[in-house]
Order: sequence, then structure tokens, then C-alpha cells
Amino acid sequence: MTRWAIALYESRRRVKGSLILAAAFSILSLVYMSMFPSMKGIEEDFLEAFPPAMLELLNMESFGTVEGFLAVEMYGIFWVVLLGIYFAYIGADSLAGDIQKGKMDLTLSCPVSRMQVVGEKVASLLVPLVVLNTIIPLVIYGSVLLIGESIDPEALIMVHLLSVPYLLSCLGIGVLASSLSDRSKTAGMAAVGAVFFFWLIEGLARVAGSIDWASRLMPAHYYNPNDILVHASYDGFGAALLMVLSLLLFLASMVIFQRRDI
Amino acid sequence: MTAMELKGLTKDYSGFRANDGISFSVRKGEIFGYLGPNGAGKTTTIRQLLGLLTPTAGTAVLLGADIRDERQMVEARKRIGYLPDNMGFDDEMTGASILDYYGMMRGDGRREELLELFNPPLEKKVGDYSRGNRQMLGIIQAFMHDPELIIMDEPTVGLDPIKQEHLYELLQEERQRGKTVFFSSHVLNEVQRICDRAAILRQGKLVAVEDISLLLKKGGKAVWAKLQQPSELDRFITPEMKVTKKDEDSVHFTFTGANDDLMAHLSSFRLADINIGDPMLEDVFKHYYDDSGEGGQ
Repeated sequence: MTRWAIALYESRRRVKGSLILAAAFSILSLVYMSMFPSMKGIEEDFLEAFPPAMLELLNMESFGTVEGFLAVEMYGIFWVVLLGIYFAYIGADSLAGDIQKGKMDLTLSCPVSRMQVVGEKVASLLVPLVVLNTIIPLVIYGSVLLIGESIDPEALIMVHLLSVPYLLSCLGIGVLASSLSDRSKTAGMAAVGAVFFFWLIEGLARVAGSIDWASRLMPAHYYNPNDILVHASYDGFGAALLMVLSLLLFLASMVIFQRRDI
Repeated sequence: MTAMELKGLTKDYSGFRANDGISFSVRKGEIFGYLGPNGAGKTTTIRQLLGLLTPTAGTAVLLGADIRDERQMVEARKRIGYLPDNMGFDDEMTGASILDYYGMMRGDGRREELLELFNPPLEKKVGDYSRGNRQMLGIIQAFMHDPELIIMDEPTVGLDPIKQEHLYELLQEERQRGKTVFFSSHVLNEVQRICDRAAILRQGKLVAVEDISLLLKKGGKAVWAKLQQPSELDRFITPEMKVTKKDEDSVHFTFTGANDDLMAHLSSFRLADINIGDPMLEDVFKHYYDDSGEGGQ
């Protein structure tokens, strides 16, 4: 059996896109950080302009500190929602895209097992995960210093580290959708829709209070940038839960892919 | 020695039977054609043989491996080369990096040698390739690990006549080296030219497995002749001709007798125009294999 050829080849194909994405996120974070000094003075007015439910939905707590600002703007929205969607999307394309363009036929005519194909394809999708979580914290740290503020490096590292299980679960949702479809677009829409919907449910259920339990069923519940950055409170158990969920999603995808017609 | 044996291979797609109990075997060291019109179910068979589709019933054994057993197939695939009908290469990669990739997966000992016969622009991105260049890249990846069994789905589609010749020569060399070639085609002429035997598929059913000498006889020539004297047409048409179309002064027919007889007959009439070519596969089927799938004549 040939090992790691797929992972190696696919990883190489991911490098360019990952660097472009990291550059885009870097610019975005620089722009946001440059806005922070002017936001600081009008924090009260800004918060009052939002309905309280909105503040709670987005975990807006302390806009006046760098940590609070980052937790909402950078991590609460871009990391959890946009990046979550991105990983769901590339996961959804991974198998279905190859089937759609006929590449899977060639892959499976090589001495590789189907399980291995799923495993190595998933492994190659870790490239953007690693690239983003290496470059972005450095950029954020630098830009915080640049505007004359400071941030606890440990919290910054943790907000990235603990985002890994969450983003993996989004990837898992994507790969599962991919294993069920032979059209990249269909799988992508299903996975992206699911990740966004889960995020929305998590927030709405939490705000509504009475159906708080529903919030706890959603992956986004176990990654709270606000708690990490503002309170330095790390939810290790939540991260472990997300890791288990991700592994189950990958495993389910393997089992489905193993049995299906290509 | 058999390289491949199909045992009642059957595939259903929601109410539609694409392959219906197909059984035949391919000997080691022969070039075996899988002949049928487009849509007959050839690709469905090939994709089952490679383990991409699970048979609804029946099975096949390739180089000793049961196609339903993934572990056996993973081992066997080291010795199998495959040229699909649709080459799913990554458009943004160069030809060279794609060969590197499949080389890593299966080996590429014969890569340079094959590049002398087929020369796609390796430094260019595959997305900019013509159909012929894609096909050539596909042929190289299928052969470069020197497989014992080569499975090809319509291999000459998109190739220019010179490259087609190169492929035919390559297949014949492979046979001499004891390799087995299985390829599907809807072109009777190419199967007649290079295969030892052929299985004929029609509407998902195996119609016959024939030696090529027999198929050659059955194929015959497709002739169109236009007479200078339309009144001679009735005398021109003989019982040996299988007439497919008749006008007042011209006739289309298939002739399966000796070429000399045909020429003698033609030269005894004054012809306004003439065309002799290979018959359409469907015409051959119409004449020799009736719709029930039983061999006719």
C-alpha cells in the first residue's frame, strides 16, 4: 500500500490558498486593530446602540479592552463564523469534488484503500488550519503592540489553540456532507448551511434562556473567545468534546465512503 | 491462465439494469476488446472491475483478487493500469507534477520511455491541455508502472491518427511482453485491428464473445454505390448484400463476402460514384445479433 502520497500531494496544493487566506485575515486584523483606538472612547455609546439581546448573542461584553474587542470582532465573528464556514466548505469539496471531476476514479485505481483516501485527504486540509493559527496570532500580537496596547500572549495562544477542535468539527461536518454526495456544490451548501445554522441556534438558544439546552448541543458553544480572552478561562472539557465530535464525524465519513458507489 | 474473469456481473441503478449478468474471461497475454455502442454499459463494467461500483450481483476476479474484497484489490491494483474515459486531473497542476504524483502512488519506471512515444507539454498546466494532450498524459500514467493488466475506457478518443498508431503499437508490444490489455471501444475497426478477442455488449447484456477473425467476417464492408443507369439497380443488388438504404439510383449495403468478389461485382457495372468503408457498429449488431441478445446467424 502506498502511504502519504495523497496527503503530500494534496497538502502541496493547499499551501498557496492557505497563504492567501492568511494574508487576507492579516489585513483584516490590521484594519480592525487600527480602528480600536478610536472605538475605545465611544465604547459606552457604541454598546448602547445595540439591543441587549444582540450584545448577548455576540458575546459583546467589554468592547473597551483589546481583549474584548478582539473577542467580538476578530474571533467571535471572523474566526467562528467565517473560518468555520471556510473549513466546512473545503471539507465538503474534498471527496465530492474529486468524484465530480473524475479524479476519484484515478485515485482509487491506485493501491490505496478508501479509508486511507479519506484520512489523507482530511490530513491535507490541516494545512490551512496550521498556517492560519501560526501566522494570525503573530500578526495580531504585532498589531496590538503597534497601536500601543498590550495583550496577554498566553490568552492569545489559547484562543487559537482552542479554536482548532472547533474548526475541526466544522471540517468534519463538511467531510461528512462530502461523503454523502457526488456534487461538490450540494455538499458545500449543506455543510456551510449547517455550520451557520448551528452557530445561530447556539446564540439564539443561549439568549432565549428557556431552551439553553439546545445551545449546548451546538459545536460553537464549546469555543468561547470572550471567555478565553477576557477572563482567561479555558474550557478544556469543551475542547475535548469537540475533538471527540470531530473524530466521530471523520469516522462516519470513512464508513460511508467505504460503502458507497463512486 | 486467466487475467480477468467476470462471473454474472450485474449492476442496477434505480430501476435500470446497466449490466445484466455478464460473464466472460480474459486470458493472460491477450488484447481483449470490449465492444458496444455508446450507452451499452461498458464504463459501468469497467468501474465495477476497479472497485468503484459495487456489483448488485455477481463478481469478477482480477489478477486473483475478488473485486468485492478491498484488501485483495488494493494489492492487485499495484499491477493494474487504468485509463478512464474522463481524465480527472487537477487543472492547476502541471503535467510533470501529475506524473510525479501517480508515480509516487504506483511507480514510474517506464515514464521516460513512454514520453518518447507520447509527448504532452509537461511544463504546462493541465488546464491548458487539449483533449489529445490530456489523453496522452492519461496513457503515460496508466502504463508507467509497467502493469500486468491494463484497463482502458475508449483509449483512442481525442488522439490524432499518429498517436493512435503509437498506442496500437504499444499495445501490441505489451502483449508480446506477456501483458494483458482490456479496453472498451465503440469503434469496430480498431477492435478488429488490434484485439485477439472481443466481448460484445448491447443494452447491458453480453451478446457474444468472439475471436476477431470471426468478427472480421461479420463486420464486412459498408458500401455506397450510385449507378449511372438507375434501371440496373435491381440487377446490381444481390442476395449477399445486406441493404441498409435504397434510393432510385443508389444503394447502401453491407458486404461480408470476399473483397475480390465485391470488386468483381462492382467493376461489372458503370458506377457514377462509390464509397467503401467500415460498417457502423449498430449496423453489424442489427445484422448479426437480434434484440433478444441471442447470437443470430
